[in-house]
Amino acid sequence: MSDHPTIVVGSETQSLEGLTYVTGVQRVVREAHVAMTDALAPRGIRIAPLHSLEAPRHRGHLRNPYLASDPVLSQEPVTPEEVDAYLFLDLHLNASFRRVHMARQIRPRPAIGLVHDVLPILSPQWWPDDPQRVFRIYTQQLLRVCDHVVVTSQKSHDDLLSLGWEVPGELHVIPLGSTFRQRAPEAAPDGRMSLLYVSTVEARKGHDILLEAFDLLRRRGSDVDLTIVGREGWLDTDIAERLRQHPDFGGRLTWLVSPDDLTVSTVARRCSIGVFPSADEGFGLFLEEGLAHGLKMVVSDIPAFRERTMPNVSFTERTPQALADAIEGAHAQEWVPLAPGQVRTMQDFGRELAELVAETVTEPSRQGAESVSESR
Amino acid sequence: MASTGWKTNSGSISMERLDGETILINFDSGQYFTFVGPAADVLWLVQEGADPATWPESAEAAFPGLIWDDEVQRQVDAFLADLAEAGVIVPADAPTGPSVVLPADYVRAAWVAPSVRANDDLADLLVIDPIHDASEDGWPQVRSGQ
Repeated sequence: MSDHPTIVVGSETQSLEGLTYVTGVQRVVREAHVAMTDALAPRGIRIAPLHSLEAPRHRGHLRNPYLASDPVLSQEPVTPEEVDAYLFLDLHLNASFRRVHMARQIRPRPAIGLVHDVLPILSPQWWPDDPQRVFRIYTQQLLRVCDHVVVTSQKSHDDLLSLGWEVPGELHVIPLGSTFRQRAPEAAPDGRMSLLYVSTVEARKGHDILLEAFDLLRRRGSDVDLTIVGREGWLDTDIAERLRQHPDFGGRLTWLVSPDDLTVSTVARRCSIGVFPSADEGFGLFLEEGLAHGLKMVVSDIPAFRERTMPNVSFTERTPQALADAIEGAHAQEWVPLAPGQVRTMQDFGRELAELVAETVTEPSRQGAESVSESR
Repeated sequence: MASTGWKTNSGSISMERLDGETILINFDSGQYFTFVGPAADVLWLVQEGADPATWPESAEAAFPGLIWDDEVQRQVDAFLADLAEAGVIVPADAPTGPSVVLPADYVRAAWVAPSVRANDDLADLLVIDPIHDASEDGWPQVRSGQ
């Protein structure tokens, strides 16, 4: 343990503590907390849960074992005035950036924020109501208070800059990774084409294309099954209904709405091909996770996925015909062994983020004083 | 100092423009504003540090049929005064320089008097957090008890 006094970095978790379910955002926060706690504690840096709003503490996360084991959420919360630095990993739209701004006016201290992506601003058609306005306000505030802004892909980096907005902080690209340990596939006993798609069921994700490709493969006489994993999202009740009404539903077509990680791992173990026909992604966690599960991945040809080009990944146009062809192509190909560590992990993400945090909070010249006091 | 000009109160605000609409957040007051049309354009001219003497030329080139007469000048002066009262802009030396071209990021209709309105509806919108307040069925279904 370091002889230096502990530096407390407040990680904004106030809303996360009220959740009982996990999607990509919550997974990123929890995995980053685990890796960062391990990496920073020996350096005298503690990650603590930051509450920016005066409100009773929710503890809904304790009902979810995955969130309950987050090493940060189990601690007593701290206020913006008490910490030495700020970390915004969650996407808490109501966090009080004003209070953080005020605290930084009184005592300059660094802030690091994660912009998961800006898709709701650039492509609001994929979300209901007025996501552009809500996410604009959130993103503007985050950019305004942060000295360091982390994005998870070059694509998200370019998207952010395409807004033409001022980004006062330093931009960093730190890709996410898989939560699951990299392993080789198990040979399918009967050579069946077993497809897996892990994603929220929503319009952007391309479940409609996948379902049509599945039907096409069936008509071609392929021995194929499809497992869809993910909660029903928004704007697309039609695809959910089509899944439930499909003649193969419950047989060759399965939909697991809220499985735990063990179930997903077990299902993935008997699958051979992961499919990811999304129209757009900031990163695309399932691409990395599918590779970690030993799947061959057939993914849409979009910039975020092109950044993750590696063996066992094939790209396809977003049409049922092209997707069906690409799935057959992948099925015919041998799985290529990957080097240890070739698939990026969440631990990689957390460790690199921890490095940035450590550098930021321990180097006096990078502690945000200039960015707070200077006139933009 | 001859404070015949204005500049944005940049230390306390976040102000970004997208497709002709500017959203402005004042961290000092906690207020949110949206500006569209001439209001967004005048604010943009302030932010860019454009010479106020050249604003008529910039506006007349962008708005169909606009003649920047005394009435328009009064509208703009009143708008600037309201912005100052809201803490969005502060007095500064008037910049000098050539006229600038307003951004071609929306289709401009006829000029209307610019105005300042704090958007309480934005605050209401933010009360529901689409990431965390959604029910197990997903956004926009809100968790019970909200």
